[in-house]
Amino acid sequence: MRILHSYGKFTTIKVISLVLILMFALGGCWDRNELSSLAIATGAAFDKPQSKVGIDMTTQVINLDTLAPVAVHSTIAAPPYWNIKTTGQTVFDCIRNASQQSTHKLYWAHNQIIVFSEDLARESGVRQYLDFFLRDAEPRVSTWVLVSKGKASDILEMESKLEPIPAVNIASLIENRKYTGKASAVDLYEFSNRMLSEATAPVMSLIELVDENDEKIPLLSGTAVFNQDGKMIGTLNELETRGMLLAIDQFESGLLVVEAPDSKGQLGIEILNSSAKIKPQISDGRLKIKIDIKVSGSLGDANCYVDVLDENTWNSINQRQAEAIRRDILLSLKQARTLKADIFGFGDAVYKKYPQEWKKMKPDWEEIFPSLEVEIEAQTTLVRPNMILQSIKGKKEG
Amino acid sequence: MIFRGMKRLKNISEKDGKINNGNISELLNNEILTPEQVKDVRVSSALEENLCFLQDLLGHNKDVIIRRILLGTSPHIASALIYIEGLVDKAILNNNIMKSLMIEIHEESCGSDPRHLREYLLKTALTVSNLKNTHQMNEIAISILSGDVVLMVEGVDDAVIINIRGHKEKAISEPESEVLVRGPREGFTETLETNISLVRRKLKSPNLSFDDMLIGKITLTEVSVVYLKGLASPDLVEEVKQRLQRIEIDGILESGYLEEFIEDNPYSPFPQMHHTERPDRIVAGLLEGRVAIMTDGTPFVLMVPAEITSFLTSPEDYYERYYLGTLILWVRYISFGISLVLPSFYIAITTFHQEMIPTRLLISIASYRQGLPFSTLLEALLMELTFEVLREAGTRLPRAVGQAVSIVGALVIGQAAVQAGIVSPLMVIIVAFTGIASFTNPSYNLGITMRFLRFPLMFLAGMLGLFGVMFGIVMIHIHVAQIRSFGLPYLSSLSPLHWSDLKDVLVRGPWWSMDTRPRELGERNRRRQVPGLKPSPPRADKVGGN
Repeated sequence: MRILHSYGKFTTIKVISLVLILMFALGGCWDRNELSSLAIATGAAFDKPQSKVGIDMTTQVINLDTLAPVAVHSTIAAPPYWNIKTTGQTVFDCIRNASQQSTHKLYWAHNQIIVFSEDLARESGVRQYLDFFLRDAEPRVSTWVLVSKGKASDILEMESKLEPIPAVNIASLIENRKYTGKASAVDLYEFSNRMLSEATAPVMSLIELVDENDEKIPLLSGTAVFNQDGKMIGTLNELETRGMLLAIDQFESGLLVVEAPDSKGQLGIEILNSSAKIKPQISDGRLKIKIDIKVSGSLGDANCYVDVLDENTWNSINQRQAEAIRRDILLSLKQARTLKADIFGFGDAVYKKYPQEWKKMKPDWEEIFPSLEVEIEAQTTLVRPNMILQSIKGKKEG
Repeated sequence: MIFRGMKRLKNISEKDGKINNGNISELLNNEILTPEQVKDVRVSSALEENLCFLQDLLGHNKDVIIRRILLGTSPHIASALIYIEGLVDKAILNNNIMKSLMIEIHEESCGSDPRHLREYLLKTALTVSNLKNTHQMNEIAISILSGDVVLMVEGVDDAVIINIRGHKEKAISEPESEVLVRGPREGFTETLETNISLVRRKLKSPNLSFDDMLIGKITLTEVSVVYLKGLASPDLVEEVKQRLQRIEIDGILESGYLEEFIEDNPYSPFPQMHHTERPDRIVAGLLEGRVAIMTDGTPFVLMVPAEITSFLTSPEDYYERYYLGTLILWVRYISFGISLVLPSFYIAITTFHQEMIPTRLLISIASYRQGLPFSTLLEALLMELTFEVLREAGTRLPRAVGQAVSIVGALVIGQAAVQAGIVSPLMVIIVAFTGIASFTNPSYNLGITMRFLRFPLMFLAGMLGLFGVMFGIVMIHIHVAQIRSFGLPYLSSLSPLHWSDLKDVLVRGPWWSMDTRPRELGERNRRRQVPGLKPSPPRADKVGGN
C-alpha cells in the first residue's frame, strides 16, 4: 500500500484564501450586468446632421416589456422597439448621451446593422463613424453595414409582418440575399478590410424603401460602392451586383433567368455551386486579368415546353447559362470601370502574384484599372432537370 | 482492544481469583462496564457462584433468563441455561436442548467425573449443530448478549455456548435505495449472518475470508472485513483492519459511523468509499480486489477503495448489453456535469456574458426577466433552496403524503411563482433540469456532494462570471486529483491513466473483451478470464445445415 499522501492543512487553507483574495483584486475587466438593466441595441443609423457639425444618430433598442409573455405582464400596446435619437460630437458621445433618455445602459454586443444614409455617405463618408464600432469591446465586426437610399433612421422604423424588430428584420433580409444574389452582404470586418487594402474599393449593401400598396417596405437591392476615403461614389444594380459576387467568389446561390433554346419562353436555372478565381497575368509587359469561373446549376423551372431528353437542347441551355454568367460579370466590370473602382480586388491579386510590378502600378492604379484587359472563362455544367423530365405539353406545342 | 478504567476489577480477580459480587454491582452503578473488563475472570466450578456473577453482570432484567435444571435422575446434577429472551430460537431451545438435558440424559452416562460429563454433553447429549465450550467469563457474557444460550453445570469449570440465535429479522427484500430493472432483487438485511450468507451464496470460493471484530464499547457491534484472499492486496486488508481497530466509540449504529473514522480525507466533500445494499455489487467489487466492510445492524455495506468513476457506474451497466451500458454511462457523465454547473453557468452567462447568447435567445430570456425583483443569483439560490426543501420533504414524508408534496411543489413553485412574477420560467427549467440530472447519479453519496458543491459555484458565478465558474471547477479538480481512497488515487484509471482500464470508464466494454482486472486493484492477479472469448459461431455452410 502506498504511503497515504498527507499535506499541511494550514498551508492549503492559506493558499486558498490568498487566491480568493487575489481573485477579486486581479479580476480585471469584468462587469456584472443584470439582463433587466440592459437595453439591447439592435441597430444604429446615421443621418446627415441637421447642424453643420456633430453627428445625428438613431439607436434601436428592444423594448423587452412588450415582448414579455402575457402570463407575466399585461400586454402593452407599444412597438417592441424604441428608437433613441441622440446627437453628439463623436459616435461614442452620441451613445453615452443616450443615457440621458434611457434608464437602461445600451448594450452593443447584439447590434445587427449599421445604416448610413446615402447623402451622408456621399458627402462626408463613413470612415469616422466606424471607429467606435471597431474600437469598443462590445460591438462585433460581424455587424452588417449598409447604405439607405432615403433617411437611414426610416429604415429602423420599418416593421415587418413576420419580424417585430426592424433591425433584426433587416439583418434577416441580408442573410436571405443568398437565395437571389442580387444584393451584397457586407459586414464590418469585410468593409474595414477593403478600406485597409491599397486598391480594392469598399462596398456596402444597399437598401431602399419602396411603396407598395401605400405601404413602405424595405427592399434590399444592389450595392453601394465607396472610394478609398470611405466616400460613396456610386451604386451597382442587381445584375451588376450578381456579376461582382460571381467574380469575387462570394456568390452562394441564386437564379439565372435565361431564354429557352427556341425562344418560346424563359427558363430558371438555380445555381448550385460556383467558384471563381482571379488570375492576373503579365505577358510582354502587358497586364491581363483572367477570371476563371466554374458554375454548376440545375433546371429550376420553365414557363414553356422544353425537352431535356434532347441532348442538343440540354447543351444549349447550358450554353445560355454560361452566357448569362459572362454577361453579368461584364456588366459589373463595365460599371466598375465607369466608377474607376476596383470592386473585384484585381489590385490585391496583382500584388500577391507580382509584388515588384505592383509597386510601379500602385500610384496609377485608378488609371490602369479602367483600361485593363479582362478575360472571362466560364465553365458551366447543368447537373439535373430535377423531378420531371418534360414539362406539361400544350396541344399546340411541340 | 485495550480498555482502560478497569483497574479495580482486575485487582480483585488477581488477588484471590474469586469474584466479589458486591464490587460488580457497585461498578455498574458508577461506570460503563464492558464484557471485556471481565476477561480475566474464569468460570468457577461452583455453579451458583457463576450464576451470581452473571446475574450481577447482566443485571436483574426481565429479559435475562436463568433457567435452573437438574441433569439425570440420581444423583441430580444442578445446571443452568442462561439466555436472553427474544434473541434465541425457542423451538430449538425446548426440543433440542431442554428435552435432551432433562429427559434423555441417563444417570449412568453422566458419571461423577466432571470432565467426562463435559465430553458427554458436548458430544452426545446436546443435539444442536453449533457448540463450543469456554472458561472465559467475558466470552460467555458477550455470547449471551449476542443471543447464544450458555449451559453451566455444577462441578464443571467451563461453560458450553450453544448458538441457536433466532431473533426476529426482516425478510430479504429488494433494496430500496438502488433499484435495477435487470439484476438480482435481493438486498442486504440488518443481520450480519444473513448478509454473510448472501455474499457466500454468490461467491463459493475458499478464498473468501471474513475477518470479524467488535467495535463499539457499549453496543459491541460485530464488524466483518470481507475480501478474497489472493486477490485483494494484503496491505490493503491490513490497512482496513488497522483503521477499524483504532476506533474506540460507544456505539456503531450504522456503517456511516465507520466511514467517517476510516476515510483518508476527513475534510473532503467527496465520498471515499462505496456503500451499497446490493450483494451483487459487493461481489463484483470483491472480484476486482476490493475489500468490503459489513456492519451488523445495517443493510449498508461499505466497500473500499473507491475511485470517482466507479461511483458513476451501476451494476445494471454490466447486466444490460454493452451498447446500452455505454450509452447510459455517458448520459450519467453528462448529467453529472449538468448537475454541478448548469445553474452557475446560467448565472454567469446571463449576468456577465450576454454576448455569448444568440440574439433571439437573449431577447427571449431578457423579456422573461423584465420586472423581476431579484438578481439572477438570488433567484437561482431561492429556487435551489426551494428545490432542496421539496426534496427533503419528499424523502422524509410517508409515501402517501409524498404525492401531495410533489403536487404542491410543482404547482406552487413551478407555476404560481412564475405567474406572480417572482422567478422567471427559464430559471424554473434550469433548476428542475439540474434536479432531474442529479437523480441519474447511481450513488446517493456522490449526488449529495454535487448538491453541496453547486452552491459555492453559484456564488462564484454571481461574483465573477464564467471566470469564477472555471476557477471553482479548477479548484474542485485540483482537490479531486490529490485525494486518495485507501491509497488509490481518486481519479484512478483516468489519472494516473491506465489504458486497459478505460473499458470500464469511457465505455462499458463487452464482457468478452474485459480480460483483465483494474490495474491498481487487481495487480496480484491481473487476468480475469481467458482472452479471445468473443463469440464466433460457425458459419452456416460449415455446419452443413440447411
